[in-house]
Amino acid sequence: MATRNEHPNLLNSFATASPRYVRGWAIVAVLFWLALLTGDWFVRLVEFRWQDKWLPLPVATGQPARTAESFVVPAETGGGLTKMVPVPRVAARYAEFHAEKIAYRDERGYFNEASPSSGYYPILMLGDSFLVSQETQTVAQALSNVSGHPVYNHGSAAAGPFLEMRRYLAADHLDPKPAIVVWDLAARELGAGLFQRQPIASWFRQTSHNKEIGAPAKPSIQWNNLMPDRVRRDWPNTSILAFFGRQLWGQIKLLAFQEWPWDVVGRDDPVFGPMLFYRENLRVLPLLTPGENAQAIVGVVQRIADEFRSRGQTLTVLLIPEKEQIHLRALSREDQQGLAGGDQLLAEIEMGLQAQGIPVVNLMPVFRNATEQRQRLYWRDDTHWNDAGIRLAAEEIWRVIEPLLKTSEKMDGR
Amino acid sequence: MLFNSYEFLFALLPIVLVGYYLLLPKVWRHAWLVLASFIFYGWWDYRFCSLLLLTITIDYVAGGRIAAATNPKVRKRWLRFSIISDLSILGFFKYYDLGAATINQITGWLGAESSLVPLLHLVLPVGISFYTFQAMSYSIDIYRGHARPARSFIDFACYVSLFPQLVAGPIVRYHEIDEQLRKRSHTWAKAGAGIVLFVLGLAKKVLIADAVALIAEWTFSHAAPGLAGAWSGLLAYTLQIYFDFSGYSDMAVGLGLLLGFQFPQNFHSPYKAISITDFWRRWHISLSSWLRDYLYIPLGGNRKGSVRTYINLFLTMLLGGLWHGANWTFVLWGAYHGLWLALERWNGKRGIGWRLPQPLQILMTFVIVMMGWVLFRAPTLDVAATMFRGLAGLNGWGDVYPMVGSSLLNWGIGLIGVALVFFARNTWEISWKPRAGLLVALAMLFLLCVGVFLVNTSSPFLYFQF
Repeated sequence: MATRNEHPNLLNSFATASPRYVRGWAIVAVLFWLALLTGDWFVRLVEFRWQDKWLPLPVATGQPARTAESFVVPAETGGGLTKMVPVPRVAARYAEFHAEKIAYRDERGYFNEASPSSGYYPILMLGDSFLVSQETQTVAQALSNVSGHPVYNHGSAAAGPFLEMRRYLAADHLDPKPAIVVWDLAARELGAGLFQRQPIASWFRQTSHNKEIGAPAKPSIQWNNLMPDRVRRDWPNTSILAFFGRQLWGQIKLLAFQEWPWDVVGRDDPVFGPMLFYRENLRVLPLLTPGENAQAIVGVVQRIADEFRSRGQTLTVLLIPEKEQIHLRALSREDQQGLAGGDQLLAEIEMGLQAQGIPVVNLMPVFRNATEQRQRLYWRDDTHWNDAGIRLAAEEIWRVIEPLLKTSEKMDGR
Repeated sequence: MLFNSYEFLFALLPIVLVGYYLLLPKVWRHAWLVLASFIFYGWWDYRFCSLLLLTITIDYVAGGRIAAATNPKVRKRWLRFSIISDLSILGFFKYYDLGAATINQITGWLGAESSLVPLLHLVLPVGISFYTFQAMSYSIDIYRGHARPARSFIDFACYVSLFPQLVAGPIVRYHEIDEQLRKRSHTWAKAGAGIVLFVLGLAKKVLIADAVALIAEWTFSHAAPGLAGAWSGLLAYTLQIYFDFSGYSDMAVGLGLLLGFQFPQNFHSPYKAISITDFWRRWHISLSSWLRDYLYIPLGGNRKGSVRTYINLFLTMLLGGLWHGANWTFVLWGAYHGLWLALERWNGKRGIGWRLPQPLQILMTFVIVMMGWVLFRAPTLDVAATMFRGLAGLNGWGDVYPMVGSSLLNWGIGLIGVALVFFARNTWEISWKPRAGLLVALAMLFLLCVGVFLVNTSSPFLYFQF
């Protein structure tokens, strides 16, 4: 049934050419490949610092890490999302002016001014990039201004909802402990799987057990981040070749086909004009459905709230809607349908937490109303909130935690 | 791990080559390749490695015993042990659930209320069909006196697990590579030709197959594809499967050459075939020749009269179809080709359009093959039936894959694919000289391929780098 050639003709072509020439040819080809891969690995390790994903993370030990500082963040035009638009001419349409601002870093690297004279922060905010983002002030600063109380900002970007909580509990450096802990949960993080995979409750117990027996937390290599599924995702995401490839393809798609590249999409809001959206949010948010999802999240948060209660602290959950959910009218009909369940999910979580006696601030209805009143709460060119959004969030948080704080002060006799 | 993946091209392959050529003594080379192959294989799921090791061990022991035994009965007993063990492992992991589901369905028709046989939902070990056939060929070749037993367990493990051809062939039979395992040359000519073949294979897979795959996926996921959509989608799948599979084979052959091995040809412009008989001389040659030598001829081949020849051809293709996957669609696909082969054998090994001009014979064969691909691609018989209805125009004219924006690229690539299939020389026929222009072209092609497969990798966390 079959006939075969013994060798590819190419082999004969190469075998009959000058051996020196063939050797040089093959060596140049291999060197080209080696240069590509060496360059890519160099950038991965030096610039993208992929190794930070699996080498032991610096663990807060309770000792100050650096001196507190304030610094000027220079003015710039364009936010995080415009940097993902590969054609400057197109990006310029969406870019906003971000004025120069002063930022603070405390001894631990968090966005706080020097400690208050009393050394007591009655309010602690734990969370992700929404706590770091600022136009003229962070939400913690805004809350401090609104409430008149010192607020400790324990947030960091790209951290998700759990990392800062774990870091705070590992260091436990605020003494006396803040009475109110505001924990920010951005809508895109509200997947039951994410919450249930975090062994937070057992981790609480382990940490307190370690403290009791005096065992130091030993940093160890994060082997799970070296498993094939993680590596398969991480390597292309920390590759300079991939970065340039995406940039180039993004330019081609935008210029030749008028299509937005993968990571970002530009739309015109009928009221607010041009806005950029993060496509990953458009993909993820429709997957976060109400019902069982909300119940599972409430279950996990309840355990965490119980643990804080046992420490004498009140956990307050801050539910933050994503920009895509607030500017629904700017999106395509398909995306609007996909995101339609978001309100219900947040509402169910809010009701579920309230039923368990856990204070909760759901910003969705407040932000919706404000946006209806033609108040823009998010940057055009970033996924985060602007000063208006930050101020409104701070006021809402204070509305919920003010009575809690008063109760706590009465009990403490402060 | 896939050849067209970052982890292979930018991590495993360079480590393997540096270890193979620069760091390790020659006597350790095969052990190094075995280690690399198990990492390559275990990258999908480390549990698969135990199964691979089991198959290697069984056939190594059986082959050794067959060679050592002088008593024909003992030799036959060990051969049976090897074949039954291999087929049992293959059968259990690949076909158990199909068999159980089929039995349950039949008993359900007969009135049973609950499932008679439990479904195990086994995860199919990648490439098990390929390496099982390779391992079996060892025992059979030794039994037939076509090959000597392997020098060592490591040599045999290297033969079965060798990563270039482990998961998708070509199916290298032991007697074809026995001599190379004992002694082979490593020349710059092999390295150069290997590089060219690898890059061309990568381009076939990444630039063409993956691009037309979008058209095919769109069509086969359509509830009721119309006439235009069904035909364009089927043509896209016909191109996809050729460029995907032959591209992978080219990469395997290229990688083999980089390590000094010469693997057999697996594709020889199959869509230029003038009959189905001719098609099977050109498509997946290493499988069709394996089936011929180890199944069709032992069944009696053409030695027992015309009717038995037709039956043998049909049975061989039926089992060949089942080898491709645990689904009745594959069995039907095999039966379809078996019937065509039997018909053409009756017609004197000529296609049904043998009196027509050759271009029309090629076109006719191409359409027959395309019809077969419907069964091959459809996940269920229902989907296949829907596609056939679309091809017959029973769903109306219908939609086609979008012809706007960047989707136009996929159509354009599809047209290039058609031109390459019918009018270009295949990768074994080209005889380019090692010139600077070729080097620059290959470098650009490689860069383009890497860029394309990296661009298509989702980057859900890219934003948070800023």
